[in-house]
Amino acid sequence: MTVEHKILFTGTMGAGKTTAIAGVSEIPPVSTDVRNSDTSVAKATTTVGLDYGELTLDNGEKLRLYGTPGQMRFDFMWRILGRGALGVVILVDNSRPDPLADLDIYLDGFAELIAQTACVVAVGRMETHPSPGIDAYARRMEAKGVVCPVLPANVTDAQQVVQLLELLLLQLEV
Amino acid sequence: MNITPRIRLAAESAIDTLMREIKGVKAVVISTEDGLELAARVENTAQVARLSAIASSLAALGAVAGEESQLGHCDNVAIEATHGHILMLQARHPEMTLIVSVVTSREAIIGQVLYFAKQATQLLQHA
Repeated sequence: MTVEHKILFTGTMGAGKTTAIAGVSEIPPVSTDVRNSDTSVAKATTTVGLDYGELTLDNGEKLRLYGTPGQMRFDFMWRILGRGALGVVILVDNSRPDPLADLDIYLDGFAELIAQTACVVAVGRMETHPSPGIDAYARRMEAKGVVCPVLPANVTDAQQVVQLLELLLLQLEV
Repeated sequence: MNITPRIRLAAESAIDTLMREIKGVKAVVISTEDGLELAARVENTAQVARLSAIASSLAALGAVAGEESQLGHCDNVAIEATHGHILMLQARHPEMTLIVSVVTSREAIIGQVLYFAKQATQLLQHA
């Protein structure tokens, strides 16, 4: 029987959740993007329901990948999508005004899931916005009692997304 | 949020009509398709922001369900709850898509709600 895992992608609007899932999914991804009317964020569309994709790893395990909406007004979807998830990938956009505060939102929003399962924090756009550095993220998580890997990542590169997922699953084996 | 005054006025007018015509109506909220409130008539304002976001997600999920089932666009989502009904309709105005959410008590007749809500949505689409 195929082993299946539910994995969640969350993080700020524009951090690349939809892109990450679409980049690695072996089925046409399900997307619920609509036109963005929030003029404070320069982005044409935004996810309001969920993203969905599937990926089979080399060892035969199948991952069902769910992406959440990023904005807090959709936190009811966070709770719905978090049910039964084996782990969560938090995508942070380092080009935003306060990415550490952004991280707090998702660490708090998914605190229960993170405490019970696994988590990986991937920081995007570090090549153009190096500050805050990875150490600052690690300290922030430590202050909240969260122990999980944090690393720079470009989720437009499917290979890097697969590495994030493998890193997430690795934690569950420990 | 860039909303033209014409659309804003049409939204207010649609709410007036729905509040007046539907028996048992408890709230009417008109929001953008990404879940931001445009106009509303309800006592609890916190509920308005919440309902706008929920309507946005449900409309998007309804759209995916319609497409995946090869049934075409999702025009509305209806919820029958223990103590009432919620109807969410898409108003596809050329400038932007809006979602009209109507919350009613059990005494509302769902066919009547649908009739008036569709009429209001059509007026909004052509505003």
